[in-house]
Amino acid sequence: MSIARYAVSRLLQAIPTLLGIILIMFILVRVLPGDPARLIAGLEASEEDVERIRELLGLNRPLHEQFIGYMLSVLRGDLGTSLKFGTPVICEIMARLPYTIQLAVAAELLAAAIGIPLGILAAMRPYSRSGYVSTVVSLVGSSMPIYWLGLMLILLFSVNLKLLPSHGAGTPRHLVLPALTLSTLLMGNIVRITKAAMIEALESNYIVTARAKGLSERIVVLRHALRNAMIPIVTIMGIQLGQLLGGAVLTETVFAWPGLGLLLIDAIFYRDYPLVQGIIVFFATLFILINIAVDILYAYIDPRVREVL
Amino acid sequence: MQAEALVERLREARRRQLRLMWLRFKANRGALAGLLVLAAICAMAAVGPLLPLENPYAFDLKRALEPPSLHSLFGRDELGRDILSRVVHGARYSLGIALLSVLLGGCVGLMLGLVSGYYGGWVDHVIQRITDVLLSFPMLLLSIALISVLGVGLVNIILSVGISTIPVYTRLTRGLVLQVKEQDYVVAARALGKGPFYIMRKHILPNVISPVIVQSTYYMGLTILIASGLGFLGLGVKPPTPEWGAMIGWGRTYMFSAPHVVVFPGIFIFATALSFNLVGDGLRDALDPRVRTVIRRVRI
Repeated sequence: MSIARYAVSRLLQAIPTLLGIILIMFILVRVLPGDPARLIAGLEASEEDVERIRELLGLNRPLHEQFIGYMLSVLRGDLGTSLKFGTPVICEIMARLPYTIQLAVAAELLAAAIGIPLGILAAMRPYSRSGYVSTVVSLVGSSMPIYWLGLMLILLFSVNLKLLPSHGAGTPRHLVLPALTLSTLLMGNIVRITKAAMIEALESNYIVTARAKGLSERIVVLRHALRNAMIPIVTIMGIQLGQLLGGAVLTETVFAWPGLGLLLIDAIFYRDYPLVQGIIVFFATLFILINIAVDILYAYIDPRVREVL
Repeated sequence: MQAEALVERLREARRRQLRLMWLRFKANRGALAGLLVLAAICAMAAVGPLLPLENPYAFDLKRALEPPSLHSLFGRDELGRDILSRVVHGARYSLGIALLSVLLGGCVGLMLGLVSGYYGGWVDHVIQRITDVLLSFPMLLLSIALISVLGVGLVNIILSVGISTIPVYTRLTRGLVLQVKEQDYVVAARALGKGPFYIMRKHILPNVISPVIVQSTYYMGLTILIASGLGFLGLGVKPPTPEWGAMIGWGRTYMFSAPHVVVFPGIFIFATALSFNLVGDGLRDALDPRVRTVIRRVRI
């Protein structure tokens, strides 16, 4: 099977999942106890106001009609109208998306820049201090409440050292602390995978050959072993890009970073439920697409995967 | 007579196996340290209210944001409440939420995974497609989505975190069941005419339960982080409940003048999650190598 056909079939497989996500969000909002119109209007609102909201959201129509209508508009890219801003939800999402992407990419790059060298050092001397450091990084990375770490970084770098801004966006300096915070989510895994992949690569025959040829250790490790170890490293980085979306909600809240996560939390507190629903459907779709992209990329990089397609 | 002797020998073998596991676990210093810290935090949660501490809800605005001193070791929060006392009382909430969510998600997920893996066919297909959909949400996002609909509160936070762990348990259990179900003893039980529920309970469950329990240790660490994250976002417990994450969320406005308000609850969240991960590592390495590969540490 060619890469193109594989890509198409993976995308087709994702359609039922996407419909499922839309259905679940639909059920969540409508079937659970509580009247969404009442929830939006607030407890003090008059009966007419509640009725007006019900009308506005189409909540007075039969359920199946509502679902089909909602699904069709989602598939057209229409996620409804935000109650708070009065603008289309998709516009609000698109306005904030660049910030979340900026943060996620910066966090990935930072995690790779620190994690890959640590992993390589650990693989070269597994029982030395650097091997120990990688275990600790991985453990701390998976146990750290990142929102708390973010606050501690603010206390250190913004309050005590006055080096970096504590919140907001705009300049590269604003990006440093949020990206560092979010990158701890990834660093542990990148170190672990790099270490494992490098240990495996360093035991291969072509490394023995390269060493026998008299190449320097530097070239053996960086040019021969690392290039082969990159495949699993790239894969894990891709998979984690999707998982970053969850962590982004916490990080953006800590640093008042104007991305999608902060928008979601604001929307929840404002009871702007078309916006909440829209962001969650959007996040889940993004997550699925990223996973598919990783699979396709993987098939593209590694010819062995292509053969079994 | 001979059967009894055989059973006795099998029991003896089982005891020896457990002893071996404990020896392997004990050799792991990190895991042992994690276990000690966890024991201390559990003890704190159990006897907290009996300790000679101040009332964690009694406020005293004159002493608001007082820094740590010999008088109040962790200082006082924005309403002048003793933070040490709130952290100790909060252990009940933070640990309790994590434990109940893991129990809820674990029991439901375990059952779904057993049924899905054992029956196969369309039952498996339906359960797995629903699991696919739920797994397409990052876990934290799924619990945020659930709690934004359910509304804040102690029960709702347990429900939303618990429900978000169901799909991962279903996947894990199903995979393990598929390995076990083709074993000779299962085939033999079926040939003897035993019903599916009997086989699942007597033959399959005992063989999949230990990896699921070890994986749960990791999930305890994870749910502590997720639940306290919800608390931090203001989507957890209602004030004045001293849940650790919520304490950080409420206190962070005052952080610039009084850092102790956020520092101490965070240390406890980190220490608890770290201990669960250390114990998880120890248990995984002590476990039978054949099942070890399916278990891994997880992140939000």
